[in-house]
Amino acid sequence: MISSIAACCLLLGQLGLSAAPDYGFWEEVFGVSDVVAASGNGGLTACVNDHGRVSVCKWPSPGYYDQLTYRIRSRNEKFPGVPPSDGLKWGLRIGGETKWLCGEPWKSTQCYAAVDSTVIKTRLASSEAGLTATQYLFVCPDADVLVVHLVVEGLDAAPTIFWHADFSPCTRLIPEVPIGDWLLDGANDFAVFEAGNHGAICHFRPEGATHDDWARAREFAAQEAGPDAWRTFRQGVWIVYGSPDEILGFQCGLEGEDASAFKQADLGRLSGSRAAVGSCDSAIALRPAVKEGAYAATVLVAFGESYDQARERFMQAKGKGYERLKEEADGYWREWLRGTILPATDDESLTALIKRCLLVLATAMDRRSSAIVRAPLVQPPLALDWPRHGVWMTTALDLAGLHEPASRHTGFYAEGIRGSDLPGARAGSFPAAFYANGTAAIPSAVLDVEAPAWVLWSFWRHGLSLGPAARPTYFATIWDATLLSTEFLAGWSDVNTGLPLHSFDPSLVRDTRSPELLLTVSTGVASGLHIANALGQDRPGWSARANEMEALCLSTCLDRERQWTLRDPLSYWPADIIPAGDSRWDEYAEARLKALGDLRGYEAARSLCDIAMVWQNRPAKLALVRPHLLAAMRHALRMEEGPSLAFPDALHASLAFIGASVVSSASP
Amino acid sequence: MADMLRGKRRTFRRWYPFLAALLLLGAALWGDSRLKTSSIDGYCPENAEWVLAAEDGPAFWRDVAQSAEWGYFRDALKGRLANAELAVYHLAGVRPTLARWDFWMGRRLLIAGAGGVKGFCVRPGVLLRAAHFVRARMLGTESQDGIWAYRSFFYRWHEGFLIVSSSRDYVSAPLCEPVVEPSRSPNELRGHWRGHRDGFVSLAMSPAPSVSGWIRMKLTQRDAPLTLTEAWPETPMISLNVSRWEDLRAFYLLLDDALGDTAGWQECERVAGLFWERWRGGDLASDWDEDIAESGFALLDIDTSETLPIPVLAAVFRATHAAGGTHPWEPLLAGVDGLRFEWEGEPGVVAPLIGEKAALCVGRYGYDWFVASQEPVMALCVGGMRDAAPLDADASLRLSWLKAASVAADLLGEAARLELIRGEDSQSIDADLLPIVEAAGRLGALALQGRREGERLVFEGQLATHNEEAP
Repeated sequence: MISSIAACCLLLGQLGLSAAPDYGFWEEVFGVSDVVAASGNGGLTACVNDHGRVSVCKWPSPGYYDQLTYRIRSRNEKFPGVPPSDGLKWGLRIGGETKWLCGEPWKSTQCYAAVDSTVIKTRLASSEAGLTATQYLFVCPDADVLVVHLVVEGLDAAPTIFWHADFSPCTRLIPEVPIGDWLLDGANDFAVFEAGNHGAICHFRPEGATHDDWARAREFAAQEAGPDAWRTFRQGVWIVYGSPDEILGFQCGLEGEDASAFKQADLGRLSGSRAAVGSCDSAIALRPAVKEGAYAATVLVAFGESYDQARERFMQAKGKGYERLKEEADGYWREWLRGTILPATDDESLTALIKRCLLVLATAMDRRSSAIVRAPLVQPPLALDWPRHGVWMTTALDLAGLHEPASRHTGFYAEGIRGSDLPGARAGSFPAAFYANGTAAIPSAVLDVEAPAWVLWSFWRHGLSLGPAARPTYFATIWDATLLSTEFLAGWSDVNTGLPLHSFDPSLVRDTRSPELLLTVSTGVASGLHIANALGQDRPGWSARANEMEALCLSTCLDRERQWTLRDPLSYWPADIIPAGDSRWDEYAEARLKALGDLRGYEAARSLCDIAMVWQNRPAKLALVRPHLLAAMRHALRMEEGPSLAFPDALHASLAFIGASVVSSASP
Repeated sequence: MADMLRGKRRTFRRWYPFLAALLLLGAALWGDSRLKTSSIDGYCPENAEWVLAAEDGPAFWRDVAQSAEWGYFRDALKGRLANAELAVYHLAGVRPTLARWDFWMGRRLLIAGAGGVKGFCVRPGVLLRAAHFVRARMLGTESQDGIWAYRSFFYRWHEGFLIVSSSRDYVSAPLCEPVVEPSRSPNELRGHWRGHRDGFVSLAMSPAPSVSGWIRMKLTQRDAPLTLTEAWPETPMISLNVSRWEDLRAFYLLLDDALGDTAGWQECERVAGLFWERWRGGDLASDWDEDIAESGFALLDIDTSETLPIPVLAAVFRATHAAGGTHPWEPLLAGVDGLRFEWEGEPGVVAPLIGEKAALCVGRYGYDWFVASQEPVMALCVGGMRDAAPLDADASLRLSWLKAASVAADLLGEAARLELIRGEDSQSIDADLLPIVEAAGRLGALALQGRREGERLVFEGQLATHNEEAP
């Protein structure tokens, strides 16, 4: 009961994530994100923390099913409040002690293996002179395989290298409650077994695990059954991992118990238990290969819906080996970037950041549904597609010339629209956020009226980017959704004042009414009307409402001199109450530009985008932005000076990319 | 004649062994009875946090087993009871029945918890003592510091009592005779818990399941009866009626004391605090409830139509004079763009927090100030409160088992569907847990009322009123 109440409270916290300037309040509620970068292929997505420990591992989508036990409790403790047994990490057996590569005393530096690579390189230096461990981690772009490679230097003799995995395979989404794959790990895990000949370990959970499944798994574990027995379980999440290196030992254990793989590895000896059922962990001990005076080991983690599928992927990756897999991954992303339109600039650093923005965006795109999650994080749970954010990702894709994925992304929204009225969930509105498979991820009690408004604006803007020939066909495909959403927005008004009724305001974490809401709803209705006009549809009701709202905007948001009365109107340029390029924006844009150097994360990205858009037709003004561009982009991506990693927030990346594209494309 | 006498003597001699056996049996039974008798409840570790005691444990359980309420649960718990019996059989080699328990262990029963471990204390008769004698003296089983081990249990004799636990620490701890209030009937189960908020509860199953006791807490002492207890327009799932807001806070602190150590409760409080800071527009005036004579709080229902259960809440503050002017809770809405409403011709405000199902609605009617979490609830309550029989108490608590069971059944079904309960699925929940929930729903209602006596709230009431309707 208590945990249910706590979950309810946590869920309330979830409601406001969508427009938080940054994660501060939400990290207070959910815990601090222990992620610095991500590597993924639109399906399998792995995130690492500042010591290279894998802290998030999502499959089959960046948007759901975190497959790890990894819970952040406090930043004030050792290992960011996370027990050292959580997640995926290496341990070195040196001098009778296992040194886990996941925190102090290791000093860490991180970067990508190359400008256009998704290989995350983490170099850990020990206080012991000369001892370093360098991890290379990436996800294969064409197979759901995570590759983790370790090179240890500065040792006279080969150490035993442990690799410990605390997977919690998860197979179910809880509609409207996006906490199931991390907060409820206790209910997720199922079983682990040694997959034959000491070659691989398999964690799994069958879809819809029943009482009988649990009983059967316990029976198999007691019998030390082999893979032929275990593979008879239904499809679900199957994770097979192993190494091309010599495996010296293994352990399938239960978390926290004496036989847990972590405890055994910590003591330096794996006892070879072949299976466990419940909250499981596992470890393997490896004899590293000698490589140019250093010791190297590789672990390959393959995911599949069945044992056979995961095993096959594992074997294929093992056959290729680390070097070839890395070459293939780097080659794939180089080729992918070649297919994009990048702003013309001869500044290599800027080009690198622009590419990084697109790679972050690509990592957040679900390859099956075309949803784009904000970030593949679980704490706070941002691995959702928020329509009010997604529109900026669509815009960024269009600017990068990636019209096809942009079209599919708008199509994802068109399919997710509510078709009929339910209490609190009106026809024409959207869930405030979706899981990447289209399921509502936020309680329907949360009515985000701005979401359909921004989506309509995005439909219109994407249509414009397609060119006149493709435009009518595109508008026809999203017409049903446009109809529903515009009808909803046009009707969502106070009969006495004509102003929009309440909408959930994420920054206040409750429903409210505001002039900003009026501007957004007005933008949505106007966009719906533009689409109707483009299709030759006569909508006099919308037209009347659009006119009424424009008048309300003018009277509410502008004073008699037609100057803004809002404190900070810069983000509302899409409303077109004052057109982009108008000098009335200058005061606000200049103020934001002045503050740009101090802004970080969302604020930096948002400001860069807004300044660029309101000055998009004024090259002289954009020239003022150019000197600040590089630093602003680094701040937006949370990258420190010099080479480092981009925080995997696709909203930040999209806004920064939009800003950089507009600023860089203008003639100096 | 002499032959006759000799014959009689012979016949009589033939009866000697039988008479001797009879005498011996009588002596044994007398001794057994004497050994099982004690004027005290038993012993437990000095640091015990809670103690349950029964003067006649088997008789209490017999009352439970014969009650109509237990009848609802009997079938639902059949499998679990059988498993428990089997476990005892495997442990002790005897299937447990009331008669056997009485025969071996005696009637006195004391169960206690200390430092996270539990144990019990009984006063056995001749047979168990003889068995121990044989084991200790004849089979040569040795004790360590007077503590014996039997299978996975440890036991110790103290002043004729047997103290048993699976924890050696429990058995070896310094013992005391716990202070449990004297029983009014041998068939009742009495519980006492310690701490800064100590309390006592007594449970009796005959003639009806009833409960009484006290708990250390301060409440406003009333000089007029409660009038809101049965006044709600529809039966709430839970309702609590007290005098003032601070009395409600006293109950909250009681809950906080009970759950404060659990991580879930702490997390819940922390997160709720964060949101409350965001939601509240202003503060209530310090004397806002100065004119409030009685306060009623109700959890009317829990909406389970969506994945996230949403509580449906209402509160009534009955004033000493007709409610007029601004609602005392309106300062909370400062800066919130609420919608002006009217219920029964009286003004009010609806401030949506999160959609239609979570709003802060305030209104008034007659002597009552109303607060509700949904507008339809406000419409139901304003002008809808019934004239109910007054209740002579300082606080009253009502729980509808029927509604609670209905919600629990919905939540369990959803939890099973979403695989939230490890090792269970919809079928096993339907088979094992739902029958128990349904049985609970047939208990009708729990009704408790209490009076302040010094630093204590002394309470009494019924645990269940019969209800044949299943949820």
